[in-house]
Amino acid sequence: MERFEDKNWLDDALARVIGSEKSTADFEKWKQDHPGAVEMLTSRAHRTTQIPARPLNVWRIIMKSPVTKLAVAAVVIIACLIGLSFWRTSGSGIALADVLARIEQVKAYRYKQSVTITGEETPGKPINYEEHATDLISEEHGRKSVRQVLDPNGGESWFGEEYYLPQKKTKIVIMPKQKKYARTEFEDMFVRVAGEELENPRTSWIKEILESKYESLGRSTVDGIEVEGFQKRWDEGNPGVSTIWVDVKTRLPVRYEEDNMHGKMRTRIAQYDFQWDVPVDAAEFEPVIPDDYTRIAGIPVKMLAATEENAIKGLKLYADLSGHYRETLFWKHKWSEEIEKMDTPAAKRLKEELKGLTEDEKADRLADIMLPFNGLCRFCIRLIREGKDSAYYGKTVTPKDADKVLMRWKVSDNEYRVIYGDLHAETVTSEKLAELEAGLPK
Amino acid sequence: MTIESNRQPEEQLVEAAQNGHLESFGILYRRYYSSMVALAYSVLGNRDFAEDAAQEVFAAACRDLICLKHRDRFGAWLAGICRNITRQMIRQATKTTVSNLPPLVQSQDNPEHHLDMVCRAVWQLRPAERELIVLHYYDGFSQAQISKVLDISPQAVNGRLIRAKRKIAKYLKRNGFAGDDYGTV
Repeated sequence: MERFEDKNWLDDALARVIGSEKSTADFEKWKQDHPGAVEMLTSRAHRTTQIPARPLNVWRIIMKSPVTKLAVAAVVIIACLIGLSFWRTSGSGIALADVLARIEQVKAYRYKQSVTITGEETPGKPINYEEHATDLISEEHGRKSVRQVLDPNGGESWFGEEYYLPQKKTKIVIMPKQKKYARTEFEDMFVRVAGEELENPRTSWIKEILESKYESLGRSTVDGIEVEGFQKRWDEGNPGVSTIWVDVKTRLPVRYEEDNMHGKMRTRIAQYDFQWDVPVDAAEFEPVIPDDYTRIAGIPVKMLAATEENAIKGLKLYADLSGHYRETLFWKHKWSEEIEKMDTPAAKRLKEELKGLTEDEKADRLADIMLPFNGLCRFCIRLIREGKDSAYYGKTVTPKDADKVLMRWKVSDNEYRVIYGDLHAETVTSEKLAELEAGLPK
Repeated sequence: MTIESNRQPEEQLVEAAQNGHLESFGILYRRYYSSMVALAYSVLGNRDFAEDAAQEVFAAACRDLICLKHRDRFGAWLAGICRNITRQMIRQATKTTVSNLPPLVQSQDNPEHHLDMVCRAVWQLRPAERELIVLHYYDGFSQAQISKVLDISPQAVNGRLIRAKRKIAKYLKRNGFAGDDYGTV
């Protein structure tokens, strides 16, 4: 064995093996060697660039309807918590860097989306979900969606408009057929997340592609447009494939598809008919709620910030009511059935309070009481969207387990934030986390 | 528009370059060339290739600069181009970094063996860690410079640097070097 007593030995050795050589930045020579690049740059002196608008497709599903898409929202959240990434791409390519740069210039765009989920949501619980939507997203105004959920037995089960208005910190849902509406106000942090949501979906997945390996599919034709395809497959955890088709002329996406399996549940998403840099009429983001519409019961009128602090409050709330942690984390539209099964002193007091209220009044009251839990849900969604490698062990960890990991997420290359069973939190190294998780009940 | 000195704020330089001002681009070139060489070297493991890659980075930047929206993130944007170009070079040349390393010297008494092992320790790091280590040691870049290129805070640069060095130290220990912490604490 050798021993290096000098503490600076490693610094010296690294400097020697890596180089410490000064590179000469000879711009004059570079100009001579790259006349085409110089010409391209200088030719812009009096020119402006326009991004041509073309029909396109891309992107990610954002479950929004709080009314009929709870099952799907649950699927999305649960999937996140166990590490499913809807868009984990990898790859190379200047072409995609170009695509990213061009998309970042877009101020407003429209696209269509279809989502189908089939198979079993949980063992023995089949799911058959189909949704079609048209979205308009504007950096200035927000997001407007017209969504239709199909009844698996035929017909339409839900139709509505949703408005995400970051400047007003408000989300509005309108259901014309039922003459119902919901209005929810957001705390700042969530609005910030929501604001990012408006911009990032169009860029985050390309950035992820550029960060790791992906496969080129070569040239093809989509909707009559000559395109080049890029595809990412992943095998670990939840197998799936994501594909993007890019217009070779405009270098903008034309179609985006995801197809992945989570257990026995298959989710397919297609985004298409993109129109980039469309003109936007501000009136499109000014929903009108007729006077005879009534509020949808049970929809929170407020959304808590997606923070660790609120996540812990949400965990504590549920544990106080039930005596244990919830097995999965997703927001429920109606909590009454779940509360009914709880028999802690806190739950009994709550049930007593709810006696005599109508179903809608109960739903509203419970939505209000469970507000911290929506903070927890939103925090989880945020972790998922930010790719924080999150996990939740509510199924096996109890409030008495002060040394067991209840929830964790990545905070840096080698560090994770951990919330333990007794709800204290700390930051640990990846190695320490591995030790902690190795000791979790199977 | 006149560019008077290299101290001009970067965002102004980028904007001027986007408008076709070649001298502004030249200042940016001189400001970032070394870091792009170092970044490319962290992937390619070959100085000549790294120089070639850096040249191409700026050629690509000329073409795509107009699309850069966040001018304050020019360094990070340039680094993204650099990573793409180096990956393409690896694919095209079918050369790998590790295979270019000199063969391991058998005698541990040989001083060169120490450096060889350190070299291998650097190349077993994850790409992001290797970028950081190479940027730090290649040309003595400051934490502020590295933070611009890697798009992380100077504090994060420091923390990650320490962690990367610890990994190197662990690798060395596993391979028979019995130093305490090699100055990583």
